[in-house]
Amino acid sequence: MSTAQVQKASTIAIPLSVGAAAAVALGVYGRLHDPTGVAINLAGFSSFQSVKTWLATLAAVLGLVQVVSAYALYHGRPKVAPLHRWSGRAAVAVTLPVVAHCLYALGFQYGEPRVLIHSLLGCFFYGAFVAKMLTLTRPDAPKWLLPVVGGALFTALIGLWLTSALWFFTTFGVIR
Amino acid sequence: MGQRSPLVTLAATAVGLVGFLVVNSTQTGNPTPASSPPAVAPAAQGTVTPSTSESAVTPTAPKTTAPATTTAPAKPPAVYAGHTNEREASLAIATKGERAAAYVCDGRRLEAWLTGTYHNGQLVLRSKTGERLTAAITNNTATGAFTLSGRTLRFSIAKAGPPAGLYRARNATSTIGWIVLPDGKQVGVDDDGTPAPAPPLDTTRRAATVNGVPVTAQAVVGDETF
Repeated sequence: MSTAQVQKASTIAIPLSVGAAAAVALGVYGRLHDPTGVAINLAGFSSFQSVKTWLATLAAVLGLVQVVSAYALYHGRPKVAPLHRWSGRAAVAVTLPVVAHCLYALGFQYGEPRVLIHSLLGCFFYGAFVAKMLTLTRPDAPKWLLPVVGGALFTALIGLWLTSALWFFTTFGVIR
Repeated sequence: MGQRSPLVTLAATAVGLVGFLVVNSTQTGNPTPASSPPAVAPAAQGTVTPSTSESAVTPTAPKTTAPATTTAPAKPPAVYAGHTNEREASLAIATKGERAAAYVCDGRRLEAWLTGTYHNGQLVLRSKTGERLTAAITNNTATGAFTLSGRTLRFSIAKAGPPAGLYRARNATSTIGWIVLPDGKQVGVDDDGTPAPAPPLDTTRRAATVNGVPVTAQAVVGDETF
């Protein structure tokens, strides 16, 4: 391969492989760390599970904002760029207390299909996030790469919401 | 847009995640399952800005729960919760010192309260109605069998921390048991002569409403007599 080819391949391979490494690292931590079952709680909520449920719901809504603003960006509306950037940062920020609780108190589990899917998607989500951030730093990346990693990120987020928050709401009702 | 700003976002996210893990490990301290309610975090933890986690730089290794040593003279209290292997029923076992208490129920009509002993890593429990439960505890897991009217249900369940655990409430008419599983799911039976599914338990306030009457539940720690 010529140098140019190597460079071209690396613009794709580096974000994707670093993202994959991040996903694997989270999964390994979730498996090796002895789940404590306990974690911080917030006043005003019946349990931290319900806090997580609402944070995940907020993240899912911000995820929808991401898709809509990304669509607008690709259709000649550069003004929505700050909205896209900051809604994305906010979406990832609200997931952090959730994933910290998942990893610290519950760990990577696979007792039921829902839990297995949720655990896998959780690791995949942050891997996809890392891949997307790294893709953004490479303007020479192929045009299809950013929508693909962005789409993967959104799909994972919605999958995570369906396997956790929706399950919580349908099991316990829409409670705080 | 600067090409480095996604990297800044990425770094802030990583710092934020580590920060929340550290907050979890410091706030929850050394968890003693089944005795202490979950620590209420200061309001600052509600904020999600990664900047709150500068203290995350200190490399605090996440604490692991103290292993349940089966031979040590002072055994820490522990609660184990989970399903039987074929998911016929849920069960929770609480151990305190050399005493143990357990509850098995299917969330609909079957239930049993058992008490017994915990010696040398072996649990032997009986109920007043004749059910038996035996288990061995190794590596934070209780593995054994529950026998009711000639039928044996096997299980292998892991140690769980609050709010997961075993709760019991009594009033003039009924006895209610709840098993709160590690994933937050509840299984319980309300027995007022006719066993029926238990109403939802608020694990924070340990309160529930049974036939319109509020009741307060106690966490079962293991040295009870039912």
